[in-house]
Amino acid sequence: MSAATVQPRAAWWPPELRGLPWVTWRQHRVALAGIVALLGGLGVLLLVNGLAMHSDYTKLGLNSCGNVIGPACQEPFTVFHRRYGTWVSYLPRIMEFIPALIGVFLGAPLVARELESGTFRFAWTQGRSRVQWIVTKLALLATLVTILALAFSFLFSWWYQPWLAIAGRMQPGDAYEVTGLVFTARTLFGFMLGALLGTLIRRTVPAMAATAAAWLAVVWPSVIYLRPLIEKPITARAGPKSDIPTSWQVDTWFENAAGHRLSQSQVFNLFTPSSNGAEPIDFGARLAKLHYTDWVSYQPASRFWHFQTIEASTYVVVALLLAVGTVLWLRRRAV
Amino acid sequence: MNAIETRNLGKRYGRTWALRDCSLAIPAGRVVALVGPNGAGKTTLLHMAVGLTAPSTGTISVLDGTLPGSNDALSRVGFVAQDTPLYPQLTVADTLRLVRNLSSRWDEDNARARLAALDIDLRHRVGKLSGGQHAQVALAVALARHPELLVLDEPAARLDPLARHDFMAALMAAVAEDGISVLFSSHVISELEKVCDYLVVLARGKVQVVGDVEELLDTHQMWTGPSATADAVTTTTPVVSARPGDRQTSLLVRTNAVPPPGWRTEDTHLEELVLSYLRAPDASALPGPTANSAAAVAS
Repeated sequence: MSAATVQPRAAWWPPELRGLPWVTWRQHRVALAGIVALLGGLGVLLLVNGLAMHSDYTKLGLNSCGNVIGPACQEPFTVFHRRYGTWVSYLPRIMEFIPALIGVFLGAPLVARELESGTFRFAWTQGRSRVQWIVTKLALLATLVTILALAFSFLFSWWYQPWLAIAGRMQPGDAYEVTGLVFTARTLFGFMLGALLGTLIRRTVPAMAATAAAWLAVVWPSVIYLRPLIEKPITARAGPKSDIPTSWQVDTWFENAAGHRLSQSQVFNLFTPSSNGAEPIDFGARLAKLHYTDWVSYQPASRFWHFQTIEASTYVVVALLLAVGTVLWLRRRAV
Repeated sequence: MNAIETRNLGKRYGRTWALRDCSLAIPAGRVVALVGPNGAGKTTLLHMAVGLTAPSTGTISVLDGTLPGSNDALSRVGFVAQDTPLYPQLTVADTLRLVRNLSSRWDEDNARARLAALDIDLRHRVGKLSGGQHAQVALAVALARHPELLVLDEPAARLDPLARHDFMAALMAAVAEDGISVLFSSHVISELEKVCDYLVVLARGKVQVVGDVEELLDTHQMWTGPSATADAVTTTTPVVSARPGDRQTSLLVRTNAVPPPGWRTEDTHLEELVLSYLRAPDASALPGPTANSAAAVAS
C-alpha cells in the first residue's frame, strides 16, 4: 500500500512477479532449479553426444549407402553400432523415469510440506483463499514442467534421429517413452499425482515415496496391458518385410500346414540339430520340408503418433482429474 | 457489531466432538481471552473463525456476518497460529514480501518500523531467529495487514517470560493504537487480567463462561465462613466451586448478595475465577437470551 521505501524503477526485464505467482516462484524455485539442472545436464550430454553421433553417421556413409540395415551398409553400421549402441540402449531406459522424479520432488512436497510443518495455517490466512493458492500453484508449476519436459523430449528426439531407420521408436520401454508426447504427458501426470498424494498423506517423505510407487504402478502396467489395446497388431509372414525392424514386435510363432500354432516342444525340435550334428541347419529348408510357416504380429512404426496421441491424452485427462481432486479436497477438507 | 458470532457451532473429528453447541456473540472492539484446558476445543474454534476449518454443525460469522475463509474475511481477519508458523528458510525481508504478495492490505512501513523497533535484522533467515523474535515477526506481519479482527492461538505459549511480556506489550500497544478486536487463546491465566476485557472459558468442547471481565468480577465473590454452615449456603446461593477445610470453607459464589451471618466476603480476581470454573467443569456462567449483562446476575 504505502511506498515510502524508495524502490528503484523496475527494469523491463525480468518482469516483476506479483501476488501468488511470486509466492509460487519464491517457494519452489529451488525444486525448479534442481529440475532445470537435471534436464539441462542430461540435455548437454544429449547435445554433445548427438552432435558426434550425427556427424559420424554422415562420415561413415550411413546416409548414402541405401538401406541402413541392408548388406551394403553392414560394415559402417557395425562401427556405428559399436560406438553408439550402448548410449541408445541405456539412455532412454534411464530418462523415461524423469517424469516420476518431477512428481516426487516438485509435486509431492507442494501441499504435504505445508501440512506437515503447519505453515498452511500461515499461508492460507493472509488474504488469498487456499483454493486460489492451490489453483495458482498447480497451474503455474504444471505449465513450467510441461514446457521443460517438452523441450527435453524434443532434444531427445533430435538426438535419436539416426536410429529411427535402424531400430524405430515403437518398442516399449525404449525411445517411445522419451520421444513424442508421452514423456511430457507423463510428467504432468507425475506432478499432479504427487500433489494429490501429498495432500492426502500430509507428510513429505511418505508422500514422495508413495508418488514414486504409484507412478510406477500406473505407468508400468499401462505399458504392458493397456498400450496393446490401442490398436490390433498386424499379423504377417515373418521375413525381410521393410517395416518390421522399426516396429514393435508383439509376438512371433510358427504354424503347421493346418494353420495351428506349433507347441513349445515342436518349436524346440525345430531348432534341434540334425542327427549327425555336424552339418549346419538350413532353417528355411527345414521349415519348407515340414510345411511350417513363421509368423509375426507387430505394431508398425507408422502407428507411432496414433499411439502417442491416445496415450498422452489419457495421461493429460488423468492429470487434470487429479488436479481437480486436489483442489476439491483442499476446499472441502477441514485441516 | 459483533467480532464473532456463532450459533450451535460444532466440530466433530471422527466420533469425537472437538466443540459442540457453541453459541457466542463476542462484541467488536474487545480483547477476548479464550481459556480452557488442553483439548477443550480452543484451537478448533479459532481455526473455524479464520476459515481453516469448516464447521460440522451450526454457523459462524466474523465482523458482522462475514463468512470465515471468504476473501472478504481473509483480508479483514489476521491470524497468528499456534507456534507462529513461518517459513524458516525465508529471510525476514522475504517473509514480508511473501505476505505483501498474499494480502490485499499491506503496510510495508508499519511492518518495517515494528521490526526495526525490535532490532530484528531483515536479512536474517526466520529459522535462525530466537523464539521471541520469531513470534514478534509473526505478530508484526499480522498487524501490518491492519486487520479488523486479530485471532491468536496461544501466541506466547512457548516464549520465556521476558519474551512473553514483550510480545503481549507489543500486542496491547497495537490494540490501543488501532482499536482492533482481538481474540486470543491462552494457557497463562495469571496474565489475563492485565490484557483482556472479555472472557470465554471452554471446557470439554462446550462454552462454560462468557462475559465482560468486569461484570464477571462484579458478580462473583469469594465467601469464607464456618464449614458447618457451608451446606446451607450452598443450597441458597449459586456456588461455582468450594474449597472445604476443617473449620473454614471458601466458596466462589455467583451473586451480588450480602453473605449470610458468620461469613465474610472478598472480591475475587480473574485468575481465581477462571481456576474455579476450570475445576468445576459443570458450573457455567452464560449470557441469557437477551443482554450479556443480565446473564451472570440472573438465575
